[in-house]
Amino acid sequence: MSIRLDDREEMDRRLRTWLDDGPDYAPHGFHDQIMAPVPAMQRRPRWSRHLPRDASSGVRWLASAAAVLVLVTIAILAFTRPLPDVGATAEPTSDFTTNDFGVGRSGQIGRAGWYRSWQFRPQVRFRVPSGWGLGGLEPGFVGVDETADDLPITNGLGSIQITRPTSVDASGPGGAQAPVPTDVLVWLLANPDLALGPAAQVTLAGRDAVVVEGTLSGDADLDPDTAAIRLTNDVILRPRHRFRLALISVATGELLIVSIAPADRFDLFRPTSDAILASLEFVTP
Amino acid sequence: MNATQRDLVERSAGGDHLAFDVLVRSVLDRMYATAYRILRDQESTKDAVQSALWQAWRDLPALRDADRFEAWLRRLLVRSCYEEARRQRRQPIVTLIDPDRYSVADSTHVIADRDALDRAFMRLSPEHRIVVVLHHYEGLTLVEVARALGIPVGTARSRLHYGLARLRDAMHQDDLAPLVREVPA
Repeated sequence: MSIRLDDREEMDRRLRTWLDDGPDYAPHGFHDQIMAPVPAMQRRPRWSRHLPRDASSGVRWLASAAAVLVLVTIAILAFTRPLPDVGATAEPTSDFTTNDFGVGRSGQIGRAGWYRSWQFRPQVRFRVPSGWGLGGLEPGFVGVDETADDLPITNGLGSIQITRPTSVDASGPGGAQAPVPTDVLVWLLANPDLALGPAAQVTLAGRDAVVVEGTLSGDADLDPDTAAIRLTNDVILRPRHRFRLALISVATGELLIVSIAPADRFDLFRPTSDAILASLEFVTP
Repeated sequence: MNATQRDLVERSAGGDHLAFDVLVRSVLDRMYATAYRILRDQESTKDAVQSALWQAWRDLPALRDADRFEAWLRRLLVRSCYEEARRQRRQPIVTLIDPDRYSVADSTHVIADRDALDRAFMRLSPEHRIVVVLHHYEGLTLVEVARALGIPVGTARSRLHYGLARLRDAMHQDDLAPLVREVPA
C-alpha cells in the first residue's frame, strides 16, 4: 500500500502520539508487592560471577575452577553451599535442575549429570555429558531459555529442543499463527516447507513415538525478516539445518522433540543427541 | 551509571534488601511504562515487571559488571515481556466496551487511530512489538536494540521496518472501529 511522503510524516507523528499514550508510573502499591517476597528468595551464589563465559577453553576453565575452589573453601561457612562437581567423569548422586545448568544465562556450558526440567512440563529427566547448556543453536531471542512449553539445550554443535507446540506458523512473513493441527504428523509430512524422509516408529522416554528426519525444502517459504521457517511457536529452522523431529503423545497434547544441527555436522551431532534422548524419562505423566 | 547507582547495585548483589529496594524505586516506573507499551494490558505488565525484578534479585550476585546493570535489567524485562506476550496469545480474547478509555475531548481521529493501532499492534509478533517500543519509545538506537535482544542489527532493522509498516497500514485504512477494547479473558 503506497503512502505519500507527507502522509507518512503525518502518520509517523500520529504513531508517536499513540506510542506515548499510556501510563508513565507504576500503580500505587506495586513496589511493595514486588519487594514483599524478596528477603526470602533464594539467590545465585556470588562466586558464580567468576566462572568463565567460554567453557570451551580448557585452560581458562581449569584455572577459574581452581580459583573458585579457593574462594568457596574460604567462604563455605558463610554461604553453606558445597562446590558443585564440575568433573565430566564424576557420577552425580542426585539430579540437578535445568535452571542450574552451568552458570547464569542461557548458553552457558554446564556440568555432566542427570537433570530435571525446572519449568518445562510435563517434567522430564535426562542425562547429559559435560559441555551442554541451556539455549538454542541460533542466537535467537535473548533470554528465552526454558519455559513451561520449551526446553532447549545445546552443546554448540547442535541443539535438542523439547517443546509442546501451542501454535504453528502459517507460511509467509509476519506473526500470523495457526492453531496446532489435530494430526501433527500428517501436517508435518504434508508441509511444503519441509523435505522429510519416511516416518519411523520408535520408543522414546518409554513411550511410542514417531520420528522423521530431513531439511527445509529448496523452495521453502522463508520469513523475509528471519530467513527461517518458524515451524512452531518455539522451533526455528534454517536452510542450513538438518533436523530430526520426534512426536510423543502426552496427557497435555503432543510433544515435539527436535534435534537440529547444520547439515554438514548433523552426522557428528546425531550420536550425542541419540545418547541424551535415550536417557529421557518423564518424571510426571 | 553514577557512583551511587553502582554502589546500590553492588550492595544489592551482596544481599542488601534496602539497597535493592532503592534500586527498584529508581527503575520501576520506567520499566512499567515500557512493558505496558509492549503488552498493552495492565495485569500482563505487572506480571512481566514483577518477574523481571524478582529474576534480577535472584541473579544479581552473578552479574559481573555493575555498570552493565541497566542493560542487563532491560534484557530481563524484554524476556519477561516476551513470555507474557506469548501467554496473551494463548488466552481467549473477550471484547468489552470501555467507556472510560476515551474522553469527551478526544477527537474521532484520535479514537480511530488508537483503536486501529491497538489492534494492529497486538497482531504483531512479540519480536516486532518489542523492537518498535525499544526504538521509538525507549529511544534506543538499532545497535542498542540489537544488543538488548541478542540479534543482528539487520534483523532488528527488518523487524522495525515490518512492524512500522503494519502500523502505518492500520492508520491508512479508512475504517473507524467501534469503541471497544479487547482484553484477555
